[in-house]
Amino acid sequence: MKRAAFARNRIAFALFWAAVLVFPALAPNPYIVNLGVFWLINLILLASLNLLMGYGGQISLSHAAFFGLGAYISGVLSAKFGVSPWLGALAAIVASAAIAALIALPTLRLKGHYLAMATLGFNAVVSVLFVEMRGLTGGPNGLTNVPSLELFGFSLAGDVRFFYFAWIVTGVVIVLILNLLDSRMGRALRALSTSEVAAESMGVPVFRYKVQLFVLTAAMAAVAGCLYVHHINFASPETFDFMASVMMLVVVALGGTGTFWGPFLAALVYVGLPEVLHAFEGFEVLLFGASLVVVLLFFPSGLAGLLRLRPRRSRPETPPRAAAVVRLSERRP
Amino acid sequence: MDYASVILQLALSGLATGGIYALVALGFNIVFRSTDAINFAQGEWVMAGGMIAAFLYQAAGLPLWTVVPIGALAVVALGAASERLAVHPLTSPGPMLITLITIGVAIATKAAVMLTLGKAPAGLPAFAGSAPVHIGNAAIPPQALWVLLTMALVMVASHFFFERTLLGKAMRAAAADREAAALVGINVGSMVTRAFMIAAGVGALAGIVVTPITMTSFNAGTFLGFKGFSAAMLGGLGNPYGALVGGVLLGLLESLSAGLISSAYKDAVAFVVLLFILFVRPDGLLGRAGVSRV
Amino acid sequence: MTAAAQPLIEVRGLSKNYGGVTAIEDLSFSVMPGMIKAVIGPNGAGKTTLFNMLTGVDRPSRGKILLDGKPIHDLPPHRRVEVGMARTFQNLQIFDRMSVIENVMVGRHVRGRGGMATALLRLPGARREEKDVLEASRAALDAVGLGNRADDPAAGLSFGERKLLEVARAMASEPRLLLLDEPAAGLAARDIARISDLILRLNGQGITVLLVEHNMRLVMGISGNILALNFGRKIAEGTGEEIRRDRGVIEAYFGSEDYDA
Repeated sequence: MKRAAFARNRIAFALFWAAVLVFPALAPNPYIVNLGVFWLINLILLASLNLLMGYGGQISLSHAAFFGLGAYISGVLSAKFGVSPWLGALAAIVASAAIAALIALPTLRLKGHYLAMATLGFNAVVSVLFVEMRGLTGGPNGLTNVPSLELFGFSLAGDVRFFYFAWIVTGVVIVLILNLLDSRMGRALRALSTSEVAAESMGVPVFRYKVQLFVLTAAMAAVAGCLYVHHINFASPETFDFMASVMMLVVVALGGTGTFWGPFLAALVYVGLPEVLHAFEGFEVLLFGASLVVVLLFFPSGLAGLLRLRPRRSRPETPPRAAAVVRLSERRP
Repeated sequence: MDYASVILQLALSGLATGGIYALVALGFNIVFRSTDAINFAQGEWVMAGGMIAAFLYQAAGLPLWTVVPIGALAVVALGAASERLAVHPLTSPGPMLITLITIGVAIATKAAVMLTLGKAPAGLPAFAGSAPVHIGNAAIPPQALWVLLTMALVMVASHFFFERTLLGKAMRAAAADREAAALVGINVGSMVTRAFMIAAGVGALAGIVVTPITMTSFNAGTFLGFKGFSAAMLGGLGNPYGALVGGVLLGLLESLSAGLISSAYKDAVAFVVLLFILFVRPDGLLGRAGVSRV
Repeated sequence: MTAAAQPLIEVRGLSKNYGGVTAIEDLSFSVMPGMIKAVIGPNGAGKTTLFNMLTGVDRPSRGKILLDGKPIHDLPPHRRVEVGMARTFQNLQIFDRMSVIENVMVGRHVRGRGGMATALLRLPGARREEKDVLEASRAALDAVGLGNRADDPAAGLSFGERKLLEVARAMASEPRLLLLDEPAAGLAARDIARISDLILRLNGQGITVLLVEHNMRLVMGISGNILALNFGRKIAEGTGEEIRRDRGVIEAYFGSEDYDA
């Protein structure tokens, strides 16, 4: 991406973000505003996952686990131990980052499938802990009575107020991501996502950066978790299981991994699609699965690529001639 | 019950579960060897096998000995259709893309089963009576022996197929090097389809043979799939004997830890094992299959 | 006479085994500062293995590699750039998703200092540093003749231009030692001449060069000193003339096609 492209994205984002402020006023009812809040929360999740996967070249199927760790740690501290939600959130973010660092050290030495499955295994273990540590987490029925946030006596409960608060937080996260990409480290990350060997040979401390990025994105997911739990005042283990991680990855891939606007679209799909298809119960899931297949088949660069928000990747995975040879072998009667 | 008997009991039931994991792991290995991808739909095929067989038996009233092959064949067809529709059209089939696509297939399959066969759990009668079989001081349901028998038969058949038959060798060739296999006239695309079909069939058999013990329902596949995958990793992804070793070992570990330590975190055992293997020895106990690249 | 008695790079008793296969056996040689040294040998002679150990991609089984007398054989690749070694790749590891200038800027990574916190918060020191990096990278591109392609996507360059980009990228870190992996491979005659001139020019500015190469004309044309390997061992070392006449070298190459026209 050219340097000018970063500047363009900043301006476009600033304009877009200002426009988003108007959403609660335009929304026909509080339920829609609530959807808007979920869009903001999911945007943090998906943008950070996109950062990790698209720009850092790492697969993670543990994003939902950190989302959950943020939610549960902050939720438990404030619901069961009376800690102020702000402190609880801070503790949750720091703890999630620490856990991410611990997990990253052995995991990020793995590649491809191994990395994916290690992160998935981690998510599964965390899920089981959410369910089984009933004394703290409330078990499969979930954690209740989580307090809302309050700012100097001004309550942030309720959809509209929380929307504005989330708007600030999400905005900050996106700006941080933009800053990171448009920097020395960001350049190094983009390089290592193409070729780790080459980047390392150019002087980039690849492993160290991968760990730092993993920890940063896990912390962002935890921020989303804190927003989530103090908004709906509840947390249930199902929201954070490995299927959720898988769905996040899939939706990021749909939106276009490694594009700037991809996560915005992905978050829209993630929040909007179940609503649109709500009438069709089981069909929505079937359609989702089928449409995922279709999109990946025809548009490997995802929706953002489709909408020309980013040029198609020009590198095929199989050299064209070799693929043609394979095709020819199938002409036999 | 004395200590030794307890261990024996746990080991036997662990062995039976291990048999299922081994079959699921075999399915993963077969697809992995032909595409380098992880087939997220494998667990759903196991579930579909059990569900379809149960449906045919209960709703359609077909005799037990027919629902087994019909159920398995139905899922084989499902596997073939999945591959033809979702994987085959790819022009550049990278493993990551295929893995992502199998996620879509898994979601769709699970939803399709739920829509057509309902959410209620379904069961099958035991194949040969339900009087527990006694081994020493321990007792296992006879169906567990069917599980082990199925596992043994499938393993032997699979070994024979891949080592001794031309088709099996052609599939291995296509797995090892797509372009080279194509150059010697092997229809690579159809090899991949066959791999999916065999994996689906193996999975379906596993699902059918375990349903009399545990019952099945539309969401039983996901966890089972992942545990089977852990077993595959434990033995060595793609390694033909790894599935057997990994499956049995995982079953034993799960059963023993649940019985001796705590049953609350039983489900976590498979994933802790997975993490352990990945961190300590990613190639699994028996090592990965395939040519190592120098 | 200059008093440059100490070699820049010294390899002592280097050996590398892969399982039962010995790729390099008891290899010792040195590279004096300011020299252009070429490593030649038939396929399988161990050139790539040697190169991997010099660049840190592989670790030696036995022996040492010293830079300015200090051992570097345990340093990972990114640390080697910090001590002044830079490399190109035979199979071209260009960052295709980035522009030409950005590729070069990555090459200059070690000359910067900002980490994650600096990046996230966009601290003012980072902005100044970025300006310097940009200028130095432009200079490196100009030096190889790609200055006018700076903002183009790297994926759009021709093969010969990509080879030049690799060199510019390596030069961006201001190395003392340039390690070139088959710089002429796959190039047409005109591009070979271009790269040859570039290497001589860089050497003229004081950069020491070590290259692995098959193209004998290039090797003979620019190298001050040549090391010939076969079966993982040194079979000859000396000037172009000495190598040309060495019986061991002739035997190793007997019947080979390596005397490129």
